[in-house]
Amino acid sequence: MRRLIAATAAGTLAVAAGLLGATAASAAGTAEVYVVHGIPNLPVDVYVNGALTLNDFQPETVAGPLALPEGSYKVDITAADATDDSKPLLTANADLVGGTSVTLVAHLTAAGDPTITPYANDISTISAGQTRLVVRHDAAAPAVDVRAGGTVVLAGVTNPKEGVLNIPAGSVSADVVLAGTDTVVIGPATLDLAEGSATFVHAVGSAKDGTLTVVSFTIPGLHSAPGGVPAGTGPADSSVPTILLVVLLTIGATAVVVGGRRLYSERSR
Amino acid sequence: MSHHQAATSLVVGLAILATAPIVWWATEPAPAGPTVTTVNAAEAMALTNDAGSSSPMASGVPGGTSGTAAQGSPTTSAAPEVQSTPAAPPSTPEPAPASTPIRVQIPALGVDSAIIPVGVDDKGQLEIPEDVQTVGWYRFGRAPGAAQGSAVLTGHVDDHLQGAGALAELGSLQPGDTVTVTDDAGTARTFSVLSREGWHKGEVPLDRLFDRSGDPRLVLITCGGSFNTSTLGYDDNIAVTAVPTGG
Repeated sequence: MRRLIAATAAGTLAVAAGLLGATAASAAGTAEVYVVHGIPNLPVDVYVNGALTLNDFQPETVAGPLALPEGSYKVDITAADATDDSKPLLTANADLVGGTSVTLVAHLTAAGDPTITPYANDISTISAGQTRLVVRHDAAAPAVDVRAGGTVVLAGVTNPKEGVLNIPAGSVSADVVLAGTDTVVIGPATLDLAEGSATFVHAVGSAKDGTLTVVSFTIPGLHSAPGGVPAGTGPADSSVPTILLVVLLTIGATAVVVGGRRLYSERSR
Repeated sequence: MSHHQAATSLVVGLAILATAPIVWWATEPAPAGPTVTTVNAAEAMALTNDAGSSSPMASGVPGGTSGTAAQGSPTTSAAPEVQSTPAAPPSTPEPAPASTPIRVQIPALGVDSAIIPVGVDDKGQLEIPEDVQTVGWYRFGRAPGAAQGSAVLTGHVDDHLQGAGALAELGSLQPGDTVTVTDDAGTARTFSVLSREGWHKGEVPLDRLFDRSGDPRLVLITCGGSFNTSTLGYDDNIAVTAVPTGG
């Protein structure tokens, strides 16, 4: 924990301009930032550009969203009893792009060393009836599979990768197993995934120390309208017109044939 | 059979053959989908916050505590201090609607129908109740009586097996006609028709009709226009927008 690790947050998290409507104009120069604390047993203070921003930030919690003007930031994480940011445990630089959503996760690497990983939050709109589930591996643990309803939906996720699912909204029973096995390391838990929302689940802690758990948050309001309203399949089917048609055609044809043959035979006589 | 009778038989037979298609056409059931004349479309458009475009950043995410210092220099902007919050449960879905609508009455049309919740089908289109006498409520959107946004009701205008549906005459509603929706707690809410609109299906302003923000309103949608016998669907959608009367 005494090591000072410099993690550079890649800030090129541009969201297509088309996603930003007129109402986003006032927020166009602002990024939203979530901070997830995934290092067990280590309350911290978080300084942003030298200013104390999160005081006594507890492990296994999430803070935010912080609305920060677009720009470059230096994030220092110190022990919670520090009086300033002169002796950070972890330092990260983040270039924030307006209109984007970012999560900074303080967590353990697969080997168990503390680090900070930045993630771009996918806040694109979600199809009607769907929900988005994002699972991030931020734990001191080997590769895992994420299962929903007993079926593997994300395979071989390694620290610090993430997997994204867009699935029908509703309740799903999920668990995390060691990749390729049935050895459950987290869960199972029932997730109630709301329509039009993105749920970000972070697996944190250490497998070796038995501190694996999840920290999650939800971003709502990503819904969109259904693709159409197919509200009619036409008038009632009725056999009456068809029967009438057949009867009339039969009668007509019979009359024509009978009359025509008679006239033809008269002529040929 | 005389020569005269034979000639008559021939002529009558031809006449019957000629009239058969006309009789068939006249007895074939007509599609119920109406073509509507637009009324008060601008008023309906004014109810929405963001005409057409929605922004997840702006509408969906609670703002931080720092406000939105527009073009401030990053180095001079004071970072906000916020309290750390306990880890949320795996999901915090939007609060369930306060009530579920179960009955709709439209006196001007003689409609008194049950309502069931509907979602979307496997093509991402609005799910419509199979029973044409039942009205569907889009359960992912707002409920009638919500403080904001559009509560959407829908129903088949007709069905090839069941005939005309409960909302077949939707296009004849006039501004001021009332629609009353009752929820599962027995609370009745009355809405007054504001507008009547119709569009070709490719041009329906779905984002506006299903808008979850803006003024509280009730939107009833069904099909209209001409029936397309190749796609077995209607060319148009029609919608009536109604606003709370406070009654």
